[in-house]
Amino acid sequence: MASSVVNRRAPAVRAWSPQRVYLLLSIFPISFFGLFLLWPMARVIVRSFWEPSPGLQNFVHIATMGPYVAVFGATLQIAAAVTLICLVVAYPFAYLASRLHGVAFKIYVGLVLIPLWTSVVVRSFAWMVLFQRNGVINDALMWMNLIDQPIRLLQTPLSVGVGMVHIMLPFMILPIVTSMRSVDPVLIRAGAILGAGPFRLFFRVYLPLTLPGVTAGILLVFIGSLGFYITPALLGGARSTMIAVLIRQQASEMLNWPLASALSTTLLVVTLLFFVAFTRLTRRFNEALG
Amino acid sequence: VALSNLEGDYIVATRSRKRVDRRHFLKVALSASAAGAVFAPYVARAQAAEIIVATSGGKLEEAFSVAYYEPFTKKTGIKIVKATTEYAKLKAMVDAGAPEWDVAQVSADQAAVFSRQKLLEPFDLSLFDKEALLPGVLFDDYVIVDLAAAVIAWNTKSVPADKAPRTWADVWNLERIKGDRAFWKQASETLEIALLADGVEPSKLYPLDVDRAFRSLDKIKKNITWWTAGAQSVQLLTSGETPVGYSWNGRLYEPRTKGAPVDFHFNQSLFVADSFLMPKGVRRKREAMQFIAFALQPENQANFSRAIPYGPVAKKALTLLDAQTLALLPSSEENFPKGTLQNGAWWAENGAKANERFNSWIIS
Repeated sequence: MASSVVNRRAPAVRAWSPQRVYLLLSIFPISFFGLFLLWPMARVIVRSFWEPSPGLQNFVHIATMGPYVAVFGATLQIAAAVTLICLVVAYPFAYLASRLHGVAFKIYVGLVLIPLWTSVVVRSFAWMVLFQRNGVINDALMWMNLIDQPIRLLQTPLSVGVGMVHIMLPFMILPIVTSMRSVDPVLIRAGAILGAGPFRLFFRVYLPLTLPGVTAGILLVFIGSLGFYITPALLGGARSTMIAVLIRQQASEMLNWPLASALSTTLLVVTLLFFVAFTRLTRRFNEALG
Repeated sequence: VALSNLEGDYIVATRSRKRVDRRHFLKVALSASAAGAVFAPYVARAQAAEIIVATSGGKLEEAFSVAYYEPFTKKTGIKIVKATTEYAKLKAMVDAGAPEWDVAQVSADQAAVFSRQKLLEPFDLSLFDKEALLPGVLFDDYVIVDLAAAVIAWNTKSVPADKAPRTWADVWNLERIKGDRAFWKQASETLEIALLADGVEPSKLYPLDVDRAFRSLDKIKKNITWWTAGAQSVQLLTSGETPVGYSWNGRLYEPRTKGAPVDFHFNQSLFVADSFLMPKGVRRKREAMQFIAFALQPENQANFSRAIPYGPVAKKALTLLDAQTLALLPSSEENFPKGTLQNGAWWAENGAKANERFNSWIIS
């Protein structure tokens, strides 16, 4: 009460200063993330060190027993491969899109976005139907006389790769398109006028200018792929077990929450390490391109 | 040790086909927690107006509704509020001391895990007539309410009738049936069939000889296509991607009826089950117990089996069903002796190790 009496005399402008508005506005997101992201994450991390008794036992178990190290390795490998393929496919595709205008551009954006609105499960099942022995792909190959009898496509690295790339591709394309569209064409022309060939123009001008989009895309796709679950489960074979599958198994079936927490913490640390290493690398790369 | 719906409708190997209706779930969760928080302390004596029953949803829940929920409400006036079972959530709510569900349907092997971790409310066993039930279905804190069967299944187009597999040993026979076998990518149930294929007597199945099971699996390792979702097993078998494999009777029944080229039988099947239980510290125990006992009444059990081809556990229920229905049920007098009931307690005890070994084996 007392403070409101004092405030009434204060100028209205001060009461609604931008800082105060920002502070007020940020209370909601900060408390939301604090409550629903940071707090549970802190609990997971604490649990991984504290239960069933304090110490590193859960991590020792992960490092020495069971399939965990191998599965972490496979997860990183799959994520890296998916990221690379996405980059190779997305960059030229994004370049084409960045040159489009009006309706053509809208159609193109729609083509990229519509798959995003379809359930991952549905898309994975759709790939199963395409890849199976009497599926469309095998039928087409037989019809073209490239093969005599159906070949195994499902549950191979190919099917997992295609399925995951299909899902992650928009996350690579969209940031790259955005950065390409903000490249000032004058700069390219300036480079050309100064005598740079196409090769040099690309590596010294265009690529550095679009690098922020590429970096964002790589981070989104790689980190997103690390936590993949349903697609490798449906399209992958025996060897494509991802770490998320084992975390779910421990959390939801074995009900071994300390071990599940330790696996999650390890995944978090691996992701952060990658993030730090990658941002440092790109900064250096950027400086080198200068 | 089956599945969950941790990922919403990312169906992960459920015996019971499930469909998660998020909006409904949210509505239920909100009304339930509000009603619970406000009224629970004061209505301990009076009869609760409703209880919350969590299930895996889908067709199983539809059958529960027809056979148990509606008649129960009619008889007692107690409404059933539907919710979705999530195993990790059950542990979380018991740990927090505030179970939201009064009754949960959980696969029997998972129920044994909960029981072992002391997350369940003990039953009032005086409400049950043990003699009226099949042997091995009633426990101190959970009860099996229906039986499904993990069965030998094959594609009738890829496998000629004279080569159709009669036993798991036939499934293991790479000469008899060429091509891949479709198996579930997890230890539970897979180790059992590997031992049956290797000639272990069903009566001597437990405790499982894990070493022998892996040796048996090694023989066909290269010819296995692993599935992770129940729907996937049906897809693999009906399309002929895998000529032969393993699935559940409840899953295969419908495609077979609709004319898909797939067949199965109950020979050497492994009975897996759904159970009812109460989370520890359940708020409306009296009504929950009343409901569970009601579900085990023969006429209700019979109605359930008419709605979905899962077998009743009340002995008398079988006498109420016609021959056509009985032929489809794992627990009928004809089919029950052909299979073995899975021992959930063994898995609760040894599942963690067996699964870890399975996960290592499969990627090696």
